[in-house]
Amino acid sequence: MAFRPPRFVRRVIALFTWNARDDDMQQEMAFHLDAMTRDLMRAGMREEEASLAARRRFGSVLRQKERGHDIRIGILLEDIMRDIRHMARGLRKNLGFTTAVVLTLMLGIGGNTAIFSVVDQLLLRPLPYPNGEQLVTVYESFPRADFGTAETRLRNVVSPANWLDWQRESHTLEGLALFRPFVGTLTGVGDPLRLTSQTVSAEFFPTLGVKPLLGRTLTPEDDRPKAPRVMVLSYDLWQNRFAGNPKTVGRVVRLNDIPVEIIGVMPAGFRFLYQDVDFWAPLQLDRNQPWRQTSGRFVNVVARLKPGVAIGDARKEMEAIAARLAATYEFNKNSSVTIVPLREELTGQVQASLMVLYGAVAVLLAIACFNVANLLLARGASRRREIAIRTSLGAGRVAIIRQLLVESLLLALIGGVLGVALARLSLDALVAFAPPNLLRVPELFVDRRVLMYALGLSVVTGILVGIVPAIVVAGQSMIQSIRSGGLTVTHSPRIRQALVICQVAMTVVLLCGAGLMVRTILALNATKNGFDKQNVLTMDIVLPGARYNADRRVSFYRDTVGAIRALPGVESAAAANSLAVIGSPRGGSWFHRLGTPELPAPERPTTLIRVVTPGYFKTLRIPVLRGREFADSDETSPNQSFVVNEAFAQQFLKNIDPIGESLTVWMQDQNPYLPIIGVVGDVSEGSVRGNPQPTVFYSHRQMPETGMTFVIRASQPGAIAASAVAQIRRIDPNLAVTKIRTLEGALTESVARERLNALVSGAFALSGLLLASFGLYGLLAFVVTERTKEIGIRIALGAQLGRLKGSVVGGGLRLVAIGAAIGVVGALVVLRSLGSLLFQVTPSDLATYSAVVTLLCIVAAVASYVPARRAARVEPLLALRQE
Amino acid sequence: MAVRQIDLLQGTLDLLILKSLATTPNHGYGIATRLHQLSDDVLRVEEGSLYPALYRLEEQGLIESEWRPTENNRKAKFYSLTRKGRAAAQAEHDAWLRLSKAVTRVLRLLEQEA
Repeated sequence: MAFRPPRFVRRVIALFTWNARDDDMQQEMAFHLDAMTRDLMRAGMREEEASLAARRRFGSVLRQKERGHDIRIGILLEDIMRDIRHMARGLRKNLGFTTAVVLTLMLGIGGNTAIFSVVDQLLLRPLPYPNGEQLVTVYESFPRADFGTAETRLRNVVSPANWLDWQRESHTLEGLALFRPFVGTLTGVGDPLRLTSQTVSAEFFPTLGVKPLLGRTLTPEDDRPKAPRVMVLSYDLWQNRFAGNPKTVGRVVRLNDIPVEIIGVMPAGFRFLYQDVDFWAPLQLDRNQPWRQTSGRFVNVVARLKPGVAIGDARKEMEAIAARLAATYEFNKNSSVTIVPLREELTGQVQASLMVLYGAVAVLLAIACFNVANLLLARGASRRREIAIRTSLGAGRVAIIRQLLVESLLLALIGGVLGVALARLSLDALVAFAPPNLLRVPELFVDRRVLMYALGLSVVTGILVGIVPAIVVAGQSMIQSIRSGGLTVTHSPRIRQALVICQVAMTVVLLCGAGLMVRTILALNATKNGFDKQNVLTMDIVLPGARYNADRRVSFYRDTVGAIRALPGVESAAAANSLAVIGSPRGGSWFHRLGTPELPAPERPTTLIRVVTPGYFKTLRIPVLRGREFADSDETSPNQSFVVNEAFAQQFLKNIDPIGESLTVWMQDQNPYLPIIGVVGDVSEGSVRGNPQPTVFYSHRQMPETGMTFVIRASQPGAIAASAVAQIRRIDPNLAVTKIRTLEGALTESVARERLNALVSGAFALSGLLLASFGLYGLLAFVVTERTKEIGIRIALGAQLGRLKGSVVGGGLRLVAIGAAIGVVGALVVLRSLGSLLFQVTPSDLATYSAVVTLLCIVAAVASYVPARRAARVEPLLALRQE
Repeated sequence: MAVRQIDLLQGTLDLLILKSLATTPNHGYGIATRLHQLSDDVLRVEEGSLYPALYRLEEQGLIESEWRPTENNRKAKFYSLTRKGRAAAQAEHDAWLRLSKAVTRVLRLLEQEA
């Protein structure tokens, strides 16, 4: 005889295998029916008759099956189902309670899941390269105390000479590769298209370790100077411009009017540092050129840590190499090396914001939990009788705690499911709202990892919010069922008051944080930055160097600016090498003032360089403080000149009249001494929160750049965009005009991160406020209900209604005051970490804190007044007749 | 059907099932038909009682089941007696015989008195 496990074990197994059993049973019934039908047919019935008769005699197959079940899995399953049905009925009956709990948890879990999804995709997920954690970017760095940031050393791009030496000498890094941003105009495939690209050295693709989808990547031969031009397309460009045609590889297109062969296509999603790179081309840098003598620093370096090498070791080694180079070459004096993990490079910009938002949403979830715990306590109190009956019928304390816990788990899971939906929606909104290169991920999604997180969070939340109320309620009911009276108030007021105080305190922290963020964005939007950003239209153009020599570039920009100025509605127009404030300067370099001692290279003063056309300062309304700005008449004059800004004059020409002083700047092959003709007002440099930097302005005639940005002041900047582009096209139809936008819009976009911080933290804070006020309202309403009898007596004895209301409201405000006090202290401690995210506001800003406390008091007063009014309306007789 | 059918006494169905399986394993339908035929169409076993009884007996470890083909090559679930079931069948049989002998005796004596 076969081994048979004990009956209990078989029951348990049956519980889990009941689907298989079910099948088994069904097959057995089917056989029975079939056999009976055959016998009836043998006795002379037709098939349908026989089948019908068999069925009739047999009765309902289903019923049969059910009866079979009862015996097998019976009691266990039945019990579970009954529990769930019981719970569902209870929750349905208290729809208000259920909705409140589920929505509260949805808010908490949903917000958390959304932020987690962003954190996961930016900070936790492996980088999209094989062994991506080994990738690092390498910079030269210089000591710089005056830069005004926490970093003591200033990262800089790299000289090719140093890159070559590093490549030779390093034993901790391998595959040191160069990359450099590049912008070009593609022609020969539809309309002219302005493309962003990275020019890279041959080591680039092998170092990243990503294979092409089609064709090949760059070889050392492609990267030789003067080798035939080739390019590797991004998947998106291949899809959008070449319709995903596999025959694209081998095709020759024109880039800046130079023929280039397409040799490969990268897989979808491949990117390096930036989202919007359209293609990669070889840098074709001459590795034998004496770079320290001929050029400055202009390349970026990415490398891979050798397997098993810690980043600290690589840093130590590279710093030693850099120190040797600094001792050997005058050019390298003061220069060291900074190594940044690629992950940090990718997320550095948003990491701080993200951690702050994650913190904020965690606090929001905590508030939600306190709220739900409070609701569960209230519900537990109102279920005293039910629980007492269950207890007297023999349900143990553990059984009751378990039942309550299962209930809170169920609620949390429902809240979690809704929360995931909420997260899904808010991620879409976030992607739509954030500018493309802020998050550096193509999309944000809810996948299995995020779902697991949401599930885990729901379970933990369900247990956390349920455990204390369950123990309290079960404990009370035990005492209650022993006591005979059992009618005294036991709604655990102390615990509930403590919960409300915690909620208020946390809300204060959230509100203060959000308030500081909002003040930051307001301050950023309000900063003048030294010019008038309203009503200015901007657009970018890059002239192909092959068709435009220096003279033609000058005349092109003179002609187009002239044509645009002539348009109706245009007040003034000009061009500059990039946008003010957020566009990069043309460069930075050493300069020398005539008549002062010449210093050795490393000790020479440096200045930023920008290139403008006549009328630039007038167009942006940057004040001319002394002298004059470049004029149209200068264009034809043989004499050239410089304009400098106030910061330059302050720093280098103190107590000297700048006008008439002569400078030379090491920028070009020929750098004659030129007189300063004007001093203009300062403009923020780098970002709207940046400080002005000493700057020398070249006129475009002196430094005929190919790429320039137009600035056009018009009463209605949007309306003239089309005609301005038409003027440019009239002069050269083969140019791509890009980034057509208002200056104000561009500046607003540049503070998108700060705006996002303000918006998201603001949403969290308001949700927190809402939850906390519900919590307060719920508690007071409950207290009033519990005290109905007492209030009735007081009214009967002639208590004044005003004072009665006052006592209820006062009770509420007392809790709020305690919570607010704790919250303010907490905010002072916690919000100090916001420091670097803020602008023109300190973490302990008095105005923000007062506004928050005032807002809180108003909301709290309203939340308390509603129950108070109900207390005042208590009918004394009715109240006394109760019980 | 002409003959009035008799409902089985509680417990007798188990005995009949066990005894019918004593000689050869059989499937549920086979057991029902066999009992029906052997009783000259007097005993009709309701499927609604048969299968729960089979499951109960299997649960108690008196019979065990196995899927295998019939002579018509259809798959059916065959039940057979376990050793415990064989002993139980014998015990139930003895008990039944004692009971029915007693009942018959009482009935005969009562008839003679009349």
